[in-house]
Parts: sequence; C-alpha cells; structure tokens
Amino acid sequence: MKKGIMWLIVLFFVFFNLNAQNNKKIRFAVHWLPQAQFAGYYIGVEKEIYKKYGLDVEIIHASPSITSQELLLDGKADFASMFLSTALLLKSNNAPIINVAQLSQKCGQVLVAESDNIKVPSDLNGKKIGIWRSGFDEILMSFVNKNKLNIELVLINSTINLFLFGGIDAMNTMWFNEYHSILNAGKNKEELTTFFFADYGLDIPEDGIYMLQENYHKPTVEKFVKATLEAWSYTFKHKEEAIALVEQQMKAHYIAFNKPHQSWMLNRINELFEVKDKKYINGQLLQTDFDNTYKVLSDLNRIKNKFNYSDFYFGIR
Amino acid sequence: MLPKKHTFAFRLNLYVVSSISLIALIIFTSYYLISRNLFLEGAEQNAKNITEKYVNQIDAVIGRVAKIPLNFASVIESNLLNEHQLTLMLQNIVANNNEVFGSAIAFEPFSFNKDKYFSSIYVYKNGEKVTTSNLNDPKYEYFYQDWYQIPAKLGEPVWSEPYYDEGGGNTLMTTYSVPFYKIENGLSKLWGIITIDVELHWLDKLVSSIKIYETGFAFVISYAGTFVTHPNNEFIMNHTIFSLSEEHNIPLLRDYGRKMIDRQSGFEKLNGVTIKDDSRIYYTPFNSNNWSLGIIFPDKELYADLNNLSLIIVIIGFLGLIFIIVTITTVSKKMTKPLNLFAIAANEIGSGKFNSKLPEINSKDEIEELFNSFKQMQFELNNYIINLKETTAEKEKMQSELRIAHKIQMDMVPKIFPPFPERDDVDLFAILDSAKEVGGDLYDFFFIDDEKIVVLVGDVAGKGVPASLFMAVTRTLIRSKITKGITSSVIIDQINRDLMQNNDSQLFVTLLLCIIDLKTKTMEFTSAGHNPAYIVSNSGEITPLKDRHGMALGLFDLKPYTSSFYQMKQGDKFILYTDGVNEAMDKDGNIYDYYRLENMLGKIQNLTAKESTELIIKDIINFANGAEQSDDITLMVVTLK
Repeated sequence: MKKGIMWLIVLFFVFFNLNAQNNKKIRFAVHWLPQAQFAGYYIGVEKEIYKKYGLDVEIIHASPSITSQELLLDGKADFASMFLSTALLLKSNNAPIINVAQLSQKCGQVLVAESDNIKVPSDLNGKKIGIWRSGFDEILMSFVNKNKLNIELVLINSTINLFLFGGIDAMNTMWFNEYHSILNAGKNKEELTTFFFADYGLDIPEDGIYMLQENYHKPTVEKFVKATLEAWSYTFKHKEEAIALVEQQMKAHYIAFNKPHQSWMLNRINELFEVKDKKYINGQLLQTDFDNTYKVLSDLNRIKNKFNYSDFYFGIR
Repeated sequence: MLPKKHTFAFRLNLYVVSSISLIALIIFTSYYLISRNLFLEGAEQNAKNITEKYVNQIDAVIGRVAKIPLNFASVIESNLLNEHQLTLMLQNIVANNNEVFGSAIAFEPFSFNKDKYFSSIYVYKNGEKVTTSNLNDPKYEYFYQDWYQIPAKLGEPVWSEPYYDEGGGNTLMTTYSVPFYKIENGLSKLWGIITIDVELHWLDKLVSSIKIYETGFAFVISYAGTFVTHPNNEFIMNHTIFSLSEEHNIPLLRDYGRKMIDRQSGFEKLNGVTIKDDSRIYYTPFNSNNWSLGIIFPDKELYADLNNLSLIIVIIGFLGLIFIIVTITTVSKKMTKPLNLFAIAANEIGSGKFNSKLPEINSKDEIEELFNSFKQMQFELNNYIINLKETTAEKEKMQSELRIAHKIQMDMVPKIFPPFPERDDVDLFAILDSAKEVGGDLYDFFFIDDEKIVVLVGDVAGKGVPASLFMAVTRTLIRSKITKGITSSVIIDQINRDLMQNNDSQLFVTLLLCIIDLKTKTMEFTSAGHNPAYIVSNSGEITPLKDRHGMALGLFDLKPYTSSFYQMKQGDKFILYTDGVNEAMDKDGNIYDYYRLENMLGKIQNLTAKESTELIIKDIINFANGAEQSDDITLMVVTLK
C-alpha cells in the first residue's frame, strides 16, 4: 500500500515536470527598464496568457548599460522589442533580424519647448535642442531638415533636468514619458509648445517585436504574437490591474514608481497601439509605414545596405 | 410649545433671556471670528518662524559645503596642480567633512592630459575608509551626466536633483557641481567640473524633527518638485508635488508647488493628501539652493485651543443663562405672589365677600402701593355697596309703588272690551301703552244717555307720577262734569278752569273730547291742543279732523272753547290717538309720522276696532324696531255700525 502511494507521488511529479517541459521557454527582451510601456507583457506572464499558448515567457529588461538588440544579437534573448527605426538601421547594417509584430502604430515622439520664445518650428532656429545620446534622433533630424532649421543638437542622457534648468531650449521627448514628467515637474501645458512629429508627416511607428531570422519557427512565432496581442488587449481593458503589476516590476528593480505617470504612459501607449484604420489588424506592420520610415532613414543616408519590406516583416498580413 | 397662560416669570424670561442670548451670540461670534484671525495670524507667524529657523539651519549646512568646491575651483583656476595634488585635495575634502560623501573633479576632453579623452578623479567614503577612483568608464561617459552637463551648459554651479546613490548604501544624495575655467588665448574656457556629493539623511532627520501641533509636518521639494523629505517615505523620490496633485486631484497643490519651485513664500489653505481635512501650508525657499521647505498643519489643531476656549465660554454662558432663568423665575414668583393673592382676594371681593382679607405686604415698593390702592378700593367698595343697598331698597320700594300707581292709572281707563256688548251700533277698542311705569296719556268713553257716547283722548305734558296724577285728576274732572245735554266745549271749558286752580307745577293736558249721537251719527268735538283725529269711511276715504278749539288745558283761561260738528255715516271709523303714535321713533331717530299712520288707516276699513287698533300698534312696534319707547302711546278706534 505504502509503495503504491510512493509510486503515485513519483508519477505525479514526473507528469507535471514533463508538462512544464512541454511549455516552450522564451526569453523576451524589452527595450528599457520596467515601466507601463511593457505592461502588456507583464500581464501576459502574470495572467498566464503565454502559458495558455504553451509558452513559458521570461521578460528581460534592457538597461542603460545593455540594449535589447544587444541581448537579441548576443543570443541572450529569443525575442526583443525595439523601435522600428532602430530595427531598420540594424537591418541595413546586415543584422539578421526580422519584425514579427508591429505593436505601435503611431509616432509617440514630440518636441517640447518653452512656449515663451518658441511657437512655430522656425522659432527653433539657432536654438539648443536636447536629444538622447542613445539614439532615436532620426525623426528629429528629419523634422529639422524638413523645416530647414539650423539648430544646435545637445546630446543628453535620460533625464529632463537640463531642460528644466534651462540648459536647452527644446527637448525631444516621448509623449508617453518625458512630456508628462515635464508637466509633473511643475511646467503647465500652456507654458509648453509641442511639435508632434506625426503632424509633420513623420508618423513613424515605434514598438515592435523582433527576432533573429535564423530562429524563425512559424508556429512558435504565431503563438507568441497572438498571446502578446491578447495580453495587450486584456491590459487596455484592465488598466488598474496592469498598473499594479508595473508597480511590482518597478519596485523589484528599485525604480521610483509614480502611479499617475505610469497611468499616463499606459493610456498613451493604448492610443499609440490603436490601428490608424479599422481595416488593419492590431500588430501589423503596414507597407506604407515601412516605406515611410525607410525613406526617412535613407534621406538621412542612414541606410547602409538596401532591403525591402518582405525581407524585414514576417508578421501578420 | 409655549404654555397657553404666559406667566409673568415666563414673559420676563422670554424677553430677558432672548435679549441676553442675542447679545451674547453677537459678542461670542465677533470674539470667535476675531480670535480665529488672530490665531491664524499667529499660526502664520509661528510657521514663518519655524521655517525660517530650519531654513537657516539647512542653509548653513548647504552653504558651508557649497563653499568647498567653490574654493577648490578658485584654487584650480589659479594654480596648476598635478593629479597627485588634486587627489590629495579631494581626499582631504571627503575625509574632513561629515556631510560630504564623495567629491570629484572631471575635465573636459583632452584638457588635463592632452592624450586622454576622460580625465577625472573621484574620491568617496567607503565605510570607514576613503577610496580614490575615477569616472573614466567610457560607458559612463561623464560629459553627459547631469552633474557635469548641466553646470557645463549653464556655466554656473548647480545643485542636482536628488538621487539614490547605487553604491552608497542606497542613501539619498545631491551633488553640487561647480564649473571651473581656464584662460586660453585670452578667452575663458570651460575646463572641468568639481563636485561634492552630499548625503541627505541629515536633512531628512532635521526636517522630520519639525513638529507642528499634533500631526503637522514639514517636507522639502527639489527644483523639479520631487519630494526630498516627507514623513511618508513612499513619496520621497517617487512623487513630485505635481504628480501627487494629479493622482489625488488637488489642483491647489499644483499651484502651491509652482510657487514653491518659483522660490516664493506663502501661507495658504489646502485639503491635502496626508492631511485630508482643511489644513494650512506654509512654504518658503532655501537660500542656498533651489529647493523649498513646506510645512503643513491641520486647521483643527490650529484652532484646538480656540475651540476649547470657546467651548468653555459657551458652557459658562449656558450656565449663566440657566442661572438668569432661575433667578428671574424665583424673583418674579416672589414678586408676583402678592399679585396672585390679590387676584384671589379680588375674586372673593368680586363674588361679594367685600371684607375679604388682603395679603400682608411688607415690601416698600409698587406692590405696597397696589395694596394701599386695593385697600382703599375695598373700603370705597364697601361704602358704595352699603349705599347701593340702601338706594336699591329705596328704589325698589319706589318702583313697587310706581307699579301700584300704574295699576291704579290703568284701572282708571276702561279696559273691558268690547265695552258695550249689548249694543250693535258701536264697536270700540283702545290701547294705552305707557313709556314709563306711569304715564300721562288717558282715554275714556262712556254713555251720557242711550244715544250719546262720549269718547276722549288726552295727553298730559311730561311723564311719570306727576303726569299720571294730573291725568287722574283730569279724568275724574271729566266724569264729574257730565250732565245730560252738555256740550263738549262746555266740558272742556269747565275742566280748564278747574285744572288751572292750584296748578303750581304748570302741568297741562291736551284733550280731544267728542260726543257722538249714535242715532243721528252726528259728532260734536272739541280739541284742546290735541292731534287731529281721523275719520275712515266705509269706502276707505280718510278725513282728518283738523279743527282746534283752543290751547291745552290747565294753563290759561283766554276765551271759551268752541266745538265742531261732523256728520258721520254708518261704517265710518273714528280714530283718536296721542302724539306717542305719530312721534314714535326708531333707533335712528326717524319718527313714525302722519303719513305712515294714514297709510295704515288705508288698510283698516274692513277690520273690527280691535283688529284695526292692534294692526296699527303692531306697525308702530315694527317701525320702532326695538328702540326704547319715548312717549306714551294711546290709540282708540270707534266704528259706527
């Protein structure tokens, strides 16, 4: 009798162990430290949406010292999130990456300036504009070129302090992030002039999911993308719950959590993820967006090696 | 509900207590409002003093440490120091200043060593030891760090936003960065930045020690509004005053935050996050950097002493009111007790006990006066009542006599109707209604022989006993003068002469005396100043007998009275009356007058003498409509058949 129970216990563990092994292990590198920008992925894990699709997803965060593309290219991640422009630049440098989902559908970057002196783009002439040292300057440069501006670019790390202290006249910001931080440092909306790049023909989408082409396994990719879209859909319907998860993640990484800021971010991400036209599917990279972005980069002579849409996009069509 | 019977005590209480309450309310409200303002001003001053004291302390520390890199910068600018000397100086700074956690010097690319892109030295506390290191990590690239870039771009020293030092045991720090310059080709050019890292736990400790009332507290925000210290640790570095305003939807907090980072001072009202009730915020900037100190305290605690004091005043006031009510009630009851006794006495007196005992009064006040008046009244009343009793007794006696006189008078006039039931040629009815118990009217009728009947109506001037006596005399005289064949004028003449004798009272009587021959229906009549009689024929024709034959009887004997004749017909009605009929008055003073009488006469031709008389009398009564009868009314109707 005792032996029988022992066997049952052994069988039980073996079964569950096998079952766990059945879930395919996925390492997913997101492109910054924990914040509401990645809430959907946390939900996917926490609410076991990935598990439902047979995936055991581990989220890895990029940091100031290591980027998500480095994690992907070094083989430390199976999937990575990146900005579309970043990915196109990598691809033109022959990085073997492909886009499997384009979550963001719109450009979330906005140039912010003190409204005292700067009201229209031409007011930016001769002014100091802050831009992140880590990249993402393509849209700003296209904007500068389009408006034939003569400006002084000031490379900055990640804070808004130089702008607050008046060391620069304008600053390239993420609408969902730094713009709100500036508001929450005491600047009023009416004291700021905002140039939304999307309004200047530079509506270049951002967050997308990438992988190495050699690792492309269609069933797994489809499952991962489907689960991710489902997770984001759940997130946008349960924002409070998602923000609570974001708080957990941020506190685990010793990052200051500010609820109104993260709520603002999630709401803006929700808007950026919405498809431009209902005829499109969520998560789809449109050929027009690809072409637009490609043109912006090639106009800046950033495209080293040419490639086309089908070389790049392997997601939903 | 007020008691239905408002006693004197109740009224007095009502007026006095409500007046006092109103005055007390006004005084108390003014006191409270003025005190509130004083408290508020005091609180503002207190808050100002506290913040100034602490801001001075903080500024002293910050100002002192700020001087270190400033001095260092001027040393570097004026002396060419080598790396070793620089390191020694930094070590010295870190080792000798408690508040300084670390200090760094970083140069512009290739400016300290022309071969090196990065040139920096960083000295910091590592437990008990002082460690020397550098910041030359290419990944760190110090030129883009806030502590380097912001003062470099601004060209002035800058206190950084607070940050958590990852290596330094997770302590909150701020860095003071001072740019320094070197002259190159006559131009001042940025050479590098000197920093000191200052741990902020001393600031937290200092600010946390600020206690305002019970739950009031102090906090510090940075230039960007970030909480540097706050009793709620969750807020420190996680929140700016603006994000707190957004999360809790308190727009005022954002306004105050903006004033704070704009280096203003202020004292304002707030419904905050930590203290949700009405509270006050006082804020003032540091002088040494761009940060600002705020203190918050709840109104409830600010006004606690005032409210306690007010409560005591209200309680004392309330007790005072109760005392006043009790006093008023007691005193007024004591004062009104004699009044109650007076009331009882008055009731007794009212019920006829005029000798009822009055309450004893010892007080020398209005009540005593009342007592004296009451006593006088009782005395007067007693006398009056005695008097009245006597008078009443007399009056009753007199009235009883008058009643007898009236009866006698009434007995003098014939009152049996029909008077001649055996005769079918005449129908007669008469009424005498006296205005007083005894009147001056008279009527009479009697036969002289089988055919001739005498009818007469008279009216003595005046009323009452003298008139009635005069009337009795007149009536008796008439009866005594009747002899066979005598004429009316002779009778009247004789009576006049008789009445004149011994008529010292100057009374007189009007008289209409008629002798009707029932067979011939001829009437002889003499009117001595009397109202005209009427004849109403069978056909309804009304004829007044206006002839007068002399003045009223009893005054003058001027000339002999004459008489007139009137030929009556069968069915004629002969109506005699006194002036009580035509001069009967209603309440408004209108008189009945002849035309009303004549109008009534038009309605009687088919009635009996009794019916006719009663109909006319009824009409007079209706006309008078309750007005007091002013004169005797006598009416006689004689119908010839």
